[in-house]
Amino acid sequence: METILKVTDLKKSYHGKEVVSGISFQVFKKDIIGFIGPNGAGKSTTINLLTALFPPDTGQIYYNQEDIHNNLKSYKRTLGIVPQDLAFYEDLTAYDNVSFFCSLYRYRGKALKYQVKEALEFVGLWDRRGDYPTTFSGGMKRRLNIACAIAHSPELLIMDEPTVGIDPQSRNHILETVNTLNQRGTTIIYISHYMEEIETLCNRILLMDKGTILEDTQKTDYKMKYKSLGTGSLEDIFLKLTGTALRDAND
Amino acid sequence: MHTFLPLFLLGLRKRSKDSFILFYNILFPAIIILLLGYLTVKSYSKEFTSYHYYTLVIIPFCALMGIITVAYVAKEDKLSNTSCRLLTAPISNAALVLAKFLSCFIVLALCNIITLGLSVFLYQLPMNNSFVPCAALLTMEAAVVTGIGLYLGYAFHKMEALKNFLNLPIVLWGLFGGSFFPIASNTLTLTTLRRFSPLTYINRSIFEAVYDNRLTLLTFLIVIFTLFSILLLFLTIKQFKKEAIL
Repeated sequence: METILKVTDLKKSYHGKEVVSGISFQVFKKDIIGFIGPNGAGKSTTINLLTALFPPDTGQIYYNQEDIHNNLKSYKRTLGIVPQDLAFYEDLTAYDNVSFFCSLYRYRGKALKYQVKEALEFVGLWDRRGDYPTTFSGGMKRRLNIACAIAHSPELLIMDEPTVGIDPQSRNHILETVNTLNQRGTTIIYISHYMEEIETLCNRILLMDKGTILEDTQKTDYKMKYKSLGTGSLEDIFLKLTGTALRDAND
Repeated sequence: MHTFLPLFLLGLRKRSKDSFILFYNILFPAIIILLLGYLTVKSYSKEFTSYHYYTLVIIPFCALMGIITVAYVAKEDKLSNTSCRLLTAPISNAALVLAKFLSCFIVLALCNIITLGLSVFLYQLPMNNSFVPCAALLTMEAAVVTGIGLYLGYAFHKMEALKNFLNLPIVLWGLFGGSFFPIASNTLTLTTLRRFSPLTYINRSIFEAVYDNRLTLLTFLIVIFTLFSILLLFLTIKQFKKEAIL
């Protein structure tokens, strides 16, 4: 299996509190990694470090064996992010939104138009390309959010709770989209609190809590390992490992 | 350059459709000129009307208020949640800031010139070949306003605090600069206070250009504004932090 992303001993502190405590893991090509953990586990901070939003205090992140901070622009061109919050301009049409964000990755002219058409067709919004997001349903907005992230054909896609607040039909469509993306060669890091999504989509589980990685394993191995707990449900395993106490902190 | 152009074109498109910018930089000054001109019409002569006076002093004052507008522009990506996409894209800080600067500058400058042109036409203000120099001054004032607005917009985390910080000085500058009514420098205190208002010098330079055909002060101000806006742009790029828009 080809390693495309390698994280080594990553640490990050905010206001004297260590939020990410020396984590290490690898991402292999064509993985769909279910990145799970309670609120305040450090997932969002880890994602911020992976997307080079902030530098780590210590540790390295390698993409295709090269430290990402040696050539950030080159790394960022291969990256796509579907943020948890809807991130597009309400005063631009669906087409213009996707076109703008794709153009930031050096696409121009016919190539740009092609990429935009592909992305909007892929998420099922081509017929609504001339409409403004204010006229979209919640599910359509989520799909536009995804289109803006995939238009430039990223090699590594990070999806932060892409199905929050939408109906089962839209969620199902998005999950199918994620699968198709992966079959086409995109490696995906998928963050979700919906264990059934992780169960359906992911081949690997990365469980994080209190700044550390508790589990980094294939999904089937993960379930086998905790079979002795008397359940094969990901959610039950999750609660057994992280506890049932309320977590009110932000990530 | 690759990423600057789409950012700049988007900024230009958004600014030119921004009803807030268009209202406060074209309609609002036009209304204020009309209102104040009408209210004080009997205090002026037929050759030099109240409308003439307020055309020349209100436009620079309203241009200065653009600082608050531009500060909001600095925060727009935070407000629309698009900042994470911009910061994870292969874009330099310089491209991001420069695109916002140029798009705001161009639209604000055009608004100032349009308002000046409309007012000159409506109130038959005799510009005496000084329209172009005055337009140039208002253009560079737009550059400084953009520079200050962007710098403060990125520096301040809370917009309410910024608005409160800026509103009072701008109004006081307008007051002592003669934007609401002519100020005579009768006392030492008034003379000193007037010196602290940039509008004192802007208004004086415009009046000298229009009525005395003297361009010295105006040219000096254009040069100062150009240098100051370049400095502010450089400082904004240098001191730009991602936390400002996250």
